[in-house]
Amino acid sequence: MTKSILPQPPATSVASGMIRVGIVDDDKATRAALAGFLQGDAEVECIGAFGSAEEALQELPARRPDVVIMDVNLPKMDGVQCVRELVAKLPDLQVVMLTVYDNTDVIFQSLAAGAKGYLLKPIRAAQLLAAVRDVIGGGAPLTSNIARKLVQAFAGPATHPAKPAAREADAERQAVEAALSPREREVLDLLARGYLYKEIASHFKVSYSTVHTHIERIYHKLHVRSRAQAVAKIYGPKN
Amino acid sequence: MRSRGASTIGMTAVVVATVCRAFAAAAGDAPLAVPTLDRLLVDGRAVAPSGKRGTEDVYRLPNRPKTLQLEFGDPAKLGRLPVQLRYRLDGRDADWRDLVGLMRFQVRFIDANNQPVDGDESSVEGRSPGWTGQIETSPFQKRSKRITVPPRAAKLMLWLISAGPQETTGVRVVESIRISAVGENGATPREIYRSDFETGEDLDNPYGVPQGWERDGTKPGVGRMVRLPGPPVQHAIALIDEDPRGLGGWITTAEGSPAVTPGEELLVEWSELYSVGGGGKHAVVYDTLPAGEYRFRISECSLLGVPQGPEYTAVIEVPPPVWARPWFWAATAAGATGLVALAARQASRQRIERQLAAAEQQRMIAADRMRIAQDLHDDLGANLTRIGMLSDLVRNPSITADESRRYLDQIFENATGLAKHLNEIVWAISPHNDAVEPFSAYLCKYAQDFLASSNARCRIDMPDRLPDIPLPSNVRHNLFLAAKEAIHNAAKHAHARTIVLRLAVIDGRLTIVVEDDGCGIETAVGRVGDSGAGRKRGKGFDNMQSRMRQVGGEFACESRAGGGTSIRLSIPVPTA
Repeated sequence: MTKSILPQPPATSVASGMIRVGIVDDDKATRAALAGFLQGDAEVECIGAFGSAEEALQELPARRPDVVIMDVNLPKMDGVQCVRELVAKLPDLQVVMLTVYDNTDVIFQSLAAGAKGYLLKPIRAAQLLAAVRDVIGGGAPLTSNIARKLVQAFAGPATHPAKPAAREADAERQAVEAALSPREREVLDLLARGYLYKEIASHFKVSYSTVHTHIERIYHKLHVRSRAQAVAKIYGPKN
Repeated sequence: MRSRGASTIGMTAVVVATVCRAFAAAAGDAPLAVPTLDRLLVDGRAVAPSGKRGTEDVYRLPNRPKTLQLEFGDPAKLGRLPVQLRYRLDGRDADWRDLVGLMRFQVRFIDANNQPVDGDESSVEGRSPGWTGQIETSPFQKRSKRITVPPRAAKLMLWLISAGPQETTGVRVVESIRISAVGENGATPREIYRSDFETGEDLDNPYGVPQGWERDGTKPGVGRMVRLPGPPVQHAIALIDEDPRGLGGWITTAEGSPAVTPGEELLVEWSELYSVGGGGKHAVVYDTLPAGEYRFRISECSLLGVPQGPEYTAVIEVPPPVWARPWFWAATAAGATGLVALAARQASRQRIERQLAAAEQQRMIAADRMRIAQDLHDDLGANLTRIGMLSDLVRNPSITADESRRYLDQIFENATGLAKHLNEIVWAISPHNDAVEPFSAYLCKYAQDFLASSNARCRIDMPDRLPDIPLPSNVRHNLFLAAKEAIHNAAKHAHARTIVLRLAVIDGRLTIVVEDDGCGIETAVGRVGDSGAGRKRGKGFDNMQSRMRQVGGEFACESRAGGGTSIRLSIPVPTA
């Protein structure tokens, strides 16, 4: 493959040492608590807390967040859709979902929409901050059932988007992008089989961060794949 | 009409009586045996008489016959040949029926080489109108027929024969025959033949020969001359056939046969009387007789069709069809009532069973809900109480910083525990999860979560895709709890390093296997001094066993080669 498809780390805030974090949650007390947690960490800056997806979509892009903590249940537009639209506007944004209900399907959908991890409420400050750092580093830990769903998602062929004016080259690239490499498949398979990151690292005799990179790529491809599927749904199958 | 003179009567009577007496003489001096029913067949099967009512045979038929065949007149059984038989089935036949007998009168055309060309025939059966039973008193009938001479015909022959069937017996007397050629358009007919039988040899003798005629047939004696008493005395030719076994008659000689011209239309006129019937072995068939009592009568007749000798009567009882008999109706009514009662009972039983099943289902669902509600109530109640009380404890100024931190941790744990429990409930009651795939995903997530905080490594062995098969809610619940028990068991009591969770759908069964590489079953259960752990383990096994049995599944556990335990849980599932 020619060009690297890995999203580049944001040049701004990490260099300046402060991780810019946004909060989207419809409960006022929760927003306050989360903001309070972020405040407790010197390297993290809370750049805004919003009560609805609409508000977030309006305000967040201008504030250049690195990470957004997104509640799944929002009043009008739900969290998953909000992620989709936000990531479309800010491709390098890392999103961590926050939810009370441990629903694998919803979580998977949010990952496919562009999120990189999820947290179950109630959470402690330490958990939140660890998740923020994890996601900056390259994806929050993948549980075996999520990995299983990923395996199933990647089992079928990638859908070719059928935007009328799409160039052949673009379509080709997207198809390639959406397919897992052999090593990525192996990593995913081990994850599905219950291997922890460190076990995978020792299995392949690579570093922990290499495993993270693989996960990152897997997420990215999942995202591409689901984007293509969404487009295909709008424009219909290519003929 | 013939005039009756004592002499003429006498003469004819002599002729007839001679014949009959000769016949009787042949049979010997014994009185004439009466022709009886030789055989009675119902739908092809012979039925014996059921008894006698006086002189009558009684046949009580076993069932309503489709065909009833009556055989009678067998000369072998009778010991002689019956001359003429007639019969009737009272209740079906309106009158006496003669056995079929025909006597033919043929007009035969022959060509120049004496080869037959074509012919015409008329036959008689039964009795001529006005037949009195005596030749001398019965009126002669004038009959006529038109025939067209066929091509190539040169001559015409006349043939009077006592057939029809050979069994034909009876009398036919022809006193005159005239044939004329009818010209076209009302031209006077031209007579081409005439015979009054007044010329010939020895005409008063029954065996005399009229001019232009000769006797024919296997029994020439059938052809007779009859002298009809006058005045004036007349002669006629006759067929007198008393033997069913032969036939005979009169035929014109070559010289007596008139010449004919092809294409000419002829009018044949003759004057006759007759009594024709049949004798000998006979079978008569009656179809589908309605139920009732019938009398089959056989009457022997003389040659002239005069009944003689006693009649034979057989009573034939045709039973009503099954459905017409009273006992049948009673039985049917009883049976029908019984059936209706049975059906009603069955229907109501089925309804009750359905209701019971539905009620049981409802009860199970309600019990499930109750259980969940109870669980939640207890858990919620307990946790909230604790949270409340702990938060109050924290406010106490006399506690240390450590203590307050500990309390706050506890508050957090209670809250998380509650959230977790809530998630479990949501999962448990969500019908979306009543299927193999969501269940398996949940189980493997649980296993990983649980084992993450233990010393054991978690390994999951499941196919990437599981078939889309439903799992009823209670089955899912019990199966999960049994699997959870197995995983806990492996982690706590077996002291395993690696625990493997396998799940698959094979041969219509969902099978879950929890393997560990720990200390094995026997050692754990039978270890001296560690009976507590062994007992706990044993109890765990009992729990799993009963849970699986509750949902119609199986529990098995065995030691693995190389150490460790393998617990197998399986239930039958419908195929995808």
